[in-house]
Amino acid sequence: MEGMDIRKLGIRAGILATLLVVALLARYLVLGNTTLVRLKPDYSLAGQVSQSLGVNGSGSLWVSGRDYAIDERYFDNNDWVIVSINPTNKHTFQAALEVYQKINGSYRLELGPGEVFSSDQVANVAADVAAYLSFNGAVYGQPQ
Amino acid sequence: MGSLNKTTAVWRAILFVVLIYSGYVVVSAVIVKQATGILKITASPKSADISISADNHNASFVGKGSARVRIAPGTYYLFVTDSGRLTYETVKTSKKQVTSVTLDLSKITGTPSVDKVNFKNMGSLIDHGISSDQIKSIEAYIFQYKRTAKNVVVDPNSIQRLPPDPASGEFTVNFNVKIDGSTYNAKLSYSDIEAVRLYLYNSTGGAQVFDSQTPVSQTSE
Repeated sequence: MEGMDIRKLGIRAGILATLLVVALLARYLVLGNTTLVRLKPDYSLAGQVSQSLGVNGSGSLWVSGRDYAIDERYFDNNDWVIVSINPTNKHTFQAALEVYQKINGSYRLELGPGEVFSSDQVANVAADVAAYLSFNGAVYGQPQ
Repeated sequence: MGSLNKTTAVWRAILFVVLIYSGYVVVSAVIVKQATGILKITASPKSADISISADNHNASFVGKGSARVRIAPGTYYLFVTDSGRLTYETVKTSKKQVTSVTLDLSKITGTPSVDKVNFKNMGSLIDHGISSDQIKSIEAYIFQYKRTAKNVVVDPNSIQRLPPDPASGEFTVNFNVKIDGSTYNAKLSYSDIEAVRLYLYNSTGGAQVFDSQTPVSQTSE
């Protein structure tokens, strides 16, 4: 009687395991070998800033609010943005600047990240953006 | 007898829970498949870090060298970084579509800009009614399509200006353009001397790869 119970229990455990394996296999067949990515809402340029800073020592991206604070200054009807990036912990990375330009409705990184830029690099950005960078000591050299 | 009934009830409860969970796993997979597209990213070198973000959203690290992700339809920024070098591209994904992107970091030196691209024979478009302002826009669009582009050559012999559309008054100019060795059929559409819309098509197969309104590079899933 006891032997029969153990056998019955084994069959039932097998049925449960088979169901789970079949479900997971079906999921794999439907979705293929892909990773599902869901991005969380954040500040407007936080995602691109995190990406431009690169991967940290632990193999993940820096996170706005936790690892750094950003200050965005908009120019020319919001067509240009200068982003100041300040690390929460000064030992992680140096404060940096980035310049973004709005092209077809989305912002694209044009300059940075960096503390200072050459006058040749700055020659490609809007005049008032260049003037702001220059006024804040972020431009060196004479344009060629 | 009571013990047997109790065992059977527990077994049925566990079976019910596993069935519900299995159903959830399968149904959620089908829903995700219907609501997302696949983004295939290949980066060079293989050690390059790949990340993805979107406006008003945070960023996510998705892999090294290559990645294959499912993501909701939208416009995303793909960044590839390695040893202080950086390149990126804007990519648009659609439901049930596979979008493939290749980013080669080894060809990047410094921040890319349209001024660093070597455009040849762009002036030949002026002979066919395209203004210098429109040429600047075309150069910006080509740079937008391929930010890593080094050499862009317009084939002057391929330029054809079609008669204006009687209904819309829009002009169309077709020509072939070679971007870093790959030939594309380009189409310009415009109704005045300032604005212009650029379409790029693969010269083999004719698939549209770019529209200056909505940059795309997609195949069926």
